Amino acid sequence: MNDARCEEYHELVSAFVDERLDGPDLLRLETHLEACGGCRTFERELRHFKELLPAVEAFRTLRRPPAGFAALVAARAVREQGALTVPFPAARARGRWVGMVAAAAAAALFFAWSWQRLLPVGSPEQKFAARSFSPGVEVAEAGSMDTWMREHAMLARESTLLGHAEEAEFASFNAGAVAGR
Amino acid sequence: MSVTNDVPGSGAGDGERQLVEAARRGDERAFEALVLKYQDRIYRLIQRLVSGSDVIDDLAQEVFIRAYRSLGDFKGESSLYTWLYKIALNLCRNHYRTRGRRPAHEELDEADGAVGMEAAGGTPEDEVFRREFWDHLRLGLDELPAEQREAVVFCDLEGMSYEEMAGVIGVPIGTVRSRIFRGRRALQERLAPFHAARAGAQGRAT
Amino acid sequence: MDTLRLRVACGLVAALVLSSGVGASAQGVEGLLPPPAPASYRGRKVVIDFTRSGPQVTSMSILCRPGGFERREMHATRGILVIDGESSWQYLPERGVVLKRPSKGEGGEVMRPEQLQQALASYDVRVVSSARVAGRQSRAIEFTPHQVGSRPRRLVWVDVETGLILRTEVYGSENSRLSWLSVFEELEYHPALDAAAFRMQVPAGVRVVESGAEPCLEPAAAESLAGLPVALPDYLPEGFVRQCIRARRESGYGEVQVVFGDGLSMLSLFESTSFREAEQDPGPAPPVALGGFTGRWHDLGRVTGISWHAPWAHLALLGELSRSEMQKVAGSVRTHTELSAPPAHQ
Repeated sequence: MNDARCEEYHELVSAFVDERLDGPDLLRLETHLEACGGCRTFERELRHFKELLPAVEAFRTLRRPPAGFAALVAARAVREQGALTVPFPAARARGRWVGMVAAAAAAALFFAWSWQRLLPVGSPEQKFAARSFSPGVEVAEAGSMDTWMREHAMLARESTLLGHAEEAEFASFNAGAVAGR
Repeated sequence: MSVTNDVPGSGAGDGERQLVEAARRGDERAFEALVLKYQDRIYRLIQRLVSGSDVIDDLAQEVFIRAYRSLGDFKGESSLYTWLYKIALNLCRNHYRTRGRRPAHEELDEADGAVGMEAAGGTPEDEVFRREFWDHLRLGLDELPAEQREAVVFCDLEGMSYEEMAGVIGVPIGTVRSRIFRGRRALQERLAPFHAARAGAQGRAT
Repeated sequence: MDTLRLRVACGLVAALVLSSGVGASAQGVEGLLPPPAPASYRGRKVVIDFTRSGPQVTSMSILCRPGGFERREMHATRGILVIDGESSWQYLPERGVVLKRPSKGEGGEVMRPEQLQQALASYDVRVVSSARVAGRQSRAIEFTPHQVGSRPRRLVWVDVETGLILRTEVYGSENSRLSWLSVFEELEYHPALDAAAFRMQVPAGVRVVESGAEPCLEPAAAESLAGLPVALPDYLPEGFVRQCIRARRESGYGEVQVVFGDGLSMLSLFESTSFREAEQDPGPAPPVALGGFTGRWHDLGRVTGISWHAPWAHLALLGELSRSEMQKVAGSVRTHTELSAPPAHQ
């Protein structure tokens, strides 16, 4: 599907995901989605993103009003002509905002999607797995350029994590020796 | 997933009307009860629109002070919550207009609250990841044009409908829709590295 | 030798107070204060690698002492780096190997003045904000390449007192997205240190791959050693200079590595005769036109690679550059027969 045309559908997808599309627009979009994989992907990602925002926020403690806020503010409001400046209490309560249900739902959602937490780099399973940097590239036989590239890049990456630029350079240069060649 | 536990406007029954009446007459206790009812939501809204922990308390106070001052103008056409919302929105807008654009990354401030881990569990690395995700979301929101930030916050964080948003912001629904779309698009781009999915993993049936 | 080696010294202080508070002049980094006493530190660092298939989070413990002493342990893989003032040892447990190389006065993560100086040639350098990181007051410095999109943009948070790099963000050259993030979660200066920490204990049965003092060679010397012509690019992106040439000769093949840098981003050209014949099947990696030859792309995450075959060797260029820059560099690689005198013997 033509990318430029799909741009105009993207805003429709946004409204669609909010269940705010109806009539001829809805029909137009549904017809388009049947035919266009790119826009279907866009819709999927947008739904994901729409759920993501509150899920991410749910793990971030938002500040709650400090104890006594209401009394303080009401007093100040009623006496606002007056001289009293009512200071905030020094200790600010930082309770968790998220209600239990929201938190549980957010937790389930959060862990349901996305990344593997700590995939050990360079583990035996990983060594020449297809997970590596060129998706779809088959593991080539020893001596081929693909293997060479992967060895170098993976080793350089491990070295970059572990050490500094010099370590990565050195490791790259010795990738063959590391691999036992 | 809607995050608000209350639909704006709910709970506005006779009880609330009486409180408003009493508060108008200077009843401090009545006004305190109203503040208590809405303080959490107002705090949340302000934190979503404005970054920087130093100003939250001041802005929140100011919302209710202003509300008290203009309680006489509140005629009950909208819900009290929507009315408070508009006050909060105006104050936040004044705030980010006068403050100007903050340089990026100034919000990497550990004082900005701790990550609530109890609900989630996970390793220390998970905690760091989530914090970074949030920090970059926060930065992304800060860098959005104000009207797109408001649209995304109201729709995706506050869970408001397009009508409610149109009412609070005072623009047509078509404008609301367009702002939501553009805000989401910009944020999605910025946050894409955080939720890049493996091919085939997390696929949702369409 | 116009090689510029980058060295970082553990704990060397480089408080960066850039003049006018905003930008650094091209003439020099004015206001760069000389270091006060170097500081030892202990910390825990988290790295997030935003790969195409998802973010990978790694954490490690770091111990550092002035004079080029360092110890790092990766929590997940149990990899260990030790720099003991003479050598750098990298233990990679899952590969069952320790890589050892000479290392003097290196270790730690501080931005050295000469590194900053070099970066000024091809980056706009600005202090963008202040922030607290790991409990320390820090200054965020942004490096934006002059050639927009040619290489990654970086943000570096530097401890205002010690010059230690507390946090780094790297944004990809192609799509400007966050691709790498590392940050200290815990940091303690002047910790109690155990000298044994800076000695590498090589576990039983682990192979040590060692190089002697591996000099950086002149092209002619590298050619003699490796037994193959050294090829160099005529084109380098702004600010990149050649930093080192390494060469080796094993039974049956020779290899050369030419390292370039601009102060921040890395680029390496490899030549090897270790592949016994040209590949019959190029495989699925997409082709790239390089003038006379056709090469192939390799998407390796943060690093992009191009491989191709020349009559005298197989070549590979690996770097943190945009694709168009990589293509320009690779396309300009040629042997310089004027570099070497005719060999005295085979």
